[in-house]
Amino acid sequence: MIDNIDFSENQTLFSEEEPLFNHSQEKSRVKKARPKKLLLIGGIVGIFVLLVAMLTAIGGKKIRPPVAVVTPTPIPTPARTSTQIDELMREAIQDIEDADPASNALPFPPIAQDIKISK
Amino acid sequence: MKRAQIFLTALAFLGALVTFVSAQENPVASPVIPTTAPNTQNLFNLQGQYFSLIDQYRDQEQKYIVAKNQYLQLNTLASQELAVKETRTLLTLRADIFLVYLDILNEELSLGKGIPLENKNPEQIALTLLKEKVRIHKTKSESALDRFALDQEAANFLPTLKELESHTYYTLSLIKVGKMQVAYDKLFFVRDAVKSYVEGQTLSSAVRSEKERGFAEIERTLDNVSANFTPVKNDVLNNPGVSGLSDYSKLSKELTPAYGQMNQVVQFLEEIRK
Repeated sequence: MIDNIDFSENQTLFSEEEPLFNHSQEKSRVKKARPKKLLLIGGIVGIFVLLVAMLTAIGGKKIRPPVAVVTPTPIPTPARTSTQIDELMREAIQDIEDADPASNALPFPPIAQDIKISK
Repeated sequence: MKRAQIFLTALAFLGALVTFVSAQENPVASPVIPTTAPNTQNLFNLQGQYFSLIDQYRDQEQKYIVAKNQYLQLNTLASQELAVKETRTLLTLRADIFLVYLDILNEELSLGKGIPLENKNPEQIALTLLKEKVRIHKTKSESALDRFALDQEAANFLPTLKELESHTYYTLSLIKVGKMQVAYDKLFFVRDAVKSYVEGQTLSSAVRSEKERGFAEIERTLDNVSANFTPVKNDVLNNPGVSGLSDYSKLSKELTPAYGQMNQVVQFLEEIRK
């Protein structure tokens, strides 16, 4: 059983000192290939994100529907001009004329209600 | 190599940051609600239609009276046919008048200010339902071929006619009260404007105190307007749909004192601003 196990005859050497695998050539190959790939992927991602950001910033403004401009309610100034007062007075007089309870601009249609052929 | 990685990461971060800031600056715009301009043009058109129909109705009414009398005197099949035809045309025209009149009322109510929505909306619905009843009556009148069918349809329409009259006077009452409310509200606005205008003037103490007494009189008159107007208004608003010609005439009389006082307030304001 023991004969089959492969072990180092030099038992004074620690495993750290003795390389387990000799892949020095492969390691150096990987080390050389990784930066190129990363650079490429990073570059694409970066440019893509930047492109999307720019398109959103520029294109978004064009697509957006016009926002209704809300004009603030004018705050009455402490002192109005004579002309403004005249205008307000005219409006008030007009409103009062419109509200005249004696006027009846829309009377019920003055038409026959009982229409028939027989007596 | 490391430097390139850092640069690209920073670039990506910057891109994401720009996107985020852009989204914050330009939030999704809420849909723009179109504001409906008061459709006064439509009202003018309807009024034009209405008066034109009234003219047609007057002509047709004469034809109907002549044909009916002829039929009742002669009692022939030919005269009966003519009477049926003229009556049918008259009923159709009358229905058209009511349809346009209901449109006018609805439009006036819709444009009318100073009317609470809880009164305005149900009344508009009632007017629309009435319009549908009139339309059905018109269709039935048009398809009635003999005098029995026509007389029956005319009789069937009588309750709708009463309903129509009642809603008409209630709508007119609402419009009247609304106009009074608008005029009343405007008086407060004008009073404040005149007050601030007078305060900005350089006046002697005698003139100033005279104007102050004037404003005090205006306050008292406005209180009287409120005392006269508010109960009448509440009576109309709290009894929806209940109205007739007599109620409408009564309303006009009841509003007269408040109306007179409002005119007085305007006169006072005109005096004070001089």
